[in-house]
Amino acid sequence: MIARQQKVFCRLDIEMSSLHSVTFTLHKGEILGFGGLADSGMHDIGKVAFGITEAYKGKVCTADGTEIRNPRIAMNKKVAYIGKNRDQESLFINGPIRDNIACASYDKLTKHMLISSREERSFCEKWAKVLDVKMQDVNQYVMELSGGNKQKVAIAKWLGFGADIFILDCPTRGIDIGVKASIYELMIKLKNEGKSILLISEELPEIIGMSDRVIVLRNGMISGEFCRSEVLTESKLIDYMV
Amino acid sequence: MEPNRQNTIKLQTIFPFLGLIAVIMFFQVVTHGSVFTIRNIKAVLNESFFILIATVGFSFVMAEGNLDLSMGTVMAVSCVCAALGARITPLLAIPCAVIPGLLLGWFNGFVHVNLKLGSLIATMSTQSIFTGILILTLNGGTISAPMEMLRWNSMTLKIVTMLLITLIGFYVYQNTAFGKRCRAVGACAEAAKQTGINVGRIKKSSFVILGGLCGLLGFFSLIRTGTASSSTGSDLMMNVWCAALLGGLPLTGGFASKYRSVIVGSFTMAFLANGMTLMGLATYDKQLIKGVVFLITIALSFDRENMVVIK
Repeated sequence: MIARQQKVFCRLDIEMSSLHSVTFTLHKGEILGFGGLADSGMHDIGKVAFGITEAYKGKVCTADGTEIRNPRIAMNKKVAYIGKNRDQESLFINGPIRDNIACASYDKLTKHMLISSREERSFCEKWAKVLDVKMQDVNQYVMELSGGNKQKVAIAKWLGFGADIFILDCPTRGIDIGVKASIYELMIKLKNEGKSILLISEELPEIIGMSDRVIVLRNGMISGEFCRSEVLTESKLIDYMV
Repeated sequence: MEPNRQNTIKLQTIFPFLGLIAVIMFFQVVTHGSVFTIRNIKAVLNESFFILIATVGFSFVMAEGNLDLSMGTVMAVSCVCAALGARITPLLAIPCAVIPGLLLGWFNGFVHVNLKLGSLIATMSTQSIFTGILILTLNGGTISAPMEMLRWNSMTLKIVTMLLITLIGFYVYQNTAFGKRCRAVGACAEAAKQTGINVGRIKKSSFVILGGLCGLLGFFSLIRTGTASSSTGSDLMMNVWCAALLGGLPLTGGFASKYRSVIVGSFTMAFLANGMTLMGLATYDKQLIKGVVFLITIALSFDRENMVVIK
């Protein structure tokens, strides 16, 4: 099994309102970055990849050929998604940290049809600790946390779930430098463990710094694909974005 | 950090308990101690039977931020079906009550999820349809149950049923993935979807559960009164809504919906209704007071900051 060549995720010829003929492949242990302007359609790539929206044409599938048509199928294949609208989509801000971390793992936590409160609590405390979430306790409501800690809760949810493929849309937007750095460290750690990351971001330094490969979108179409190299600069990418 | 939020939650938790105690004490004083007699406790249990069981079912629907106006009508239609089934053989009465309840509940879910109507409008229209079915079947009259079925109406049966349903409801609501997912849907449907929750299926399942329980109540109504009429279950909806709100269940659902609200609220309503009967109030007076209590409770419990349009 050659890590580099193994495909975990491929997208064939996606066609929808904001994307035209987008095709790409994600490999094991790779960070694939998507860059572009806000309306280039790159945010929709994340949504279609996770099965939240449907493309008119084409399909997204995992290495074994399973087509991803909705989030449940995606999760069955160990795919995780954190959208860019943290408060409205990736978290229950009107809920405790506990339920936010546990919600992706109910099937895992269920024994004999029931979920033990104690086990759920220690599950959540464990993953909150791994990510060093600054909180009073797991029963605290997420709306009271800072942006960086909210994002940590979202990540904790998927780490607890045990995902192998992560689709991250603007993961460090609006987050302070310290937490930003720890999220980058985490991404590299995941990559080294053989996980794959699909990184969508409007921040060019982030894309250039973190990705093994970069795909640039312009007006819904792929305008360029680059490999990690020292020669890759922001201005070069911008040429392809605009 | 908002210490206010913790205090608000504590207040919201205590209020329903205080309300229950206040109601009991009020009537105990006003009726000169008639509340806590054996005979009256039995009456309270009879009163709370219907409200409690229906509210258990309603809690799942409400946790999602949905409402159901058709509960009483589902109960009435199921009562009629049970009476008709009992004519063939009394043993058929229970399945003939519960199965229509489940089906009507499924229909509620279908209209809300597949036809994409808000739950308020959806159940308002289904209620009209069910009422139509009811009136057509009854044709202006009533349907009676065989005499021997009235013997089934025993206190023991009711207490056991109440306990069983409340306990099972508790575990399903608090400790199963399904119960937690209901609350997740109420907290934020989009976030629930992005966590792999099948929002449509969860909503339909809740309506089916509620329908099934209302159907069961149709059976119990039949063995209590001996007849199925167009007034069966007519005050169920109002009682359940009041019970849910008096108990502290938020209208918008979500993670703040606690199961204990079901029990506290149902008994508060039961003692309220029972106390008013003890005082000898006329039906219209009772309606008025229930309405006022309902209004005050909504006004106090409305979390205006987090208000979202009813789904």
